[in-house]
Amino acid sequence: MKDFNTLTEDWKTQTASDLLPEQFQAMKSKQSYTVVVLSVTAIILIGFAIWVFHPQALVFTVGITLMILSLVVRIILEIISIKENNSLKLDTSLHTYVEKIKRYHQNRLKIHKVWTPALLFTYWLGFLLLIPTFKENLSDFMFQYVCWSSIPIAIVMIWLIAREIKKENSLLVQIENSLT
Amino acid sequence: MSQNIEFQELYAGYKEKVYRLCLGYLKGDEALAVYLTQDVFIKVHEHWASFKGNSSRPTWLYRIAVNTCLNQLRRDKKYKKVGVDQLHDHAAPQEPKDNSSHNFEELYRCINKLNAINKSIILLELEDVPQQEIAEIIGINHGAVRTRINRIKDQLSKCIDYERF
Repeated sequence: MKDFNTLTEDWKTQTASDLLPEQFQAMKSKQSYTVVVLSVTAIILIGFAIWVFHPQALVFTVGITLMILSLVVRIILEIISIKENNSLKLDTSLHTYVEKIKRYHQNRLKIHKVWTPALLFTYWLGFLLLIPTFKENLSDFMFQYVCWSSIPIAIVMIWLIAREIKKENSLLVQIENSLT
Repeated sequence: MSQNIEFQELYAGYKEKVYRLCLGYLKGDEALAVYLTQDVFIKVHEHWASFKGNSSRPTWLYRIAVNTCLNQLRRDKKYKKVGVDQLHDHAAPQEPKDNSSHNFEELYRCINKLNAINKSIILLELEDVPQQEIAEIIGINHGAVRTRINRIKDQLSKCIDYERF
């Protein structure tokens, strides 16, 4: 068995002077588009609600309010989460940092496992309450279109949640492993 | 001394060390290590004013470097790919180096089997960072660092031996 120092004696010959710039340059970082997508959807729904508002259409008003509220709550949760991520101080010790990112991902997991399904349920309940009004006011073709097109949207939403849960779970396992 | 000069000095003195630290974390992926090294120094520049002076500037830099490397775990593949693509777009084509990646392949593989804390300890040790400073960067006591270093060196020697035969 070779001595560790012999194995690593050339370690410092690895250089990157030819690749590293003399002055570093800012590079694009990943941004969260979730808030933007959810906000645009909420704005469209609010606009639609104002446009079709009728004081006597109580079921319709309750339905669209539930949809808007579920989106607003999800946006607030996302903003809190982004703030929590941004507040993670990089200049703490590795041990402290690992503990903090672990807590952050546990909170993310809670959002995906508890809050998002509950809000999704509320959103679709709101949508179901709109259906009688749609049936009354839309042409048969449009009504069928609205109903059938909602199915793939619901499937995509469920798939996205499942994917996020899987991602957070695997990250938590990796973080756990980094401490043990 | 102005902040900019201080930063440039730190960059000139430590960019290679940070690069090798990233390289060890990234299983020898040179392109990604260069990208991550730049990312580390961008963060150092951004947080320059938040340095409280409780440790030396290099210790502070190493903390940011180690935590940034760890953060790589949390980034999705798409972001990683974009980063590398951007890098290739900006960098001139390079001849493959004959010194590093091939010779250290087994070492990278074995380092990658360590957990993040042990990985960081050994990569800092390889850069001759004093053990007291490693303890401050990792957040464990000096004695524990010393014990771990001996154990990790032993593990890595055995692992490389096993990989070869």
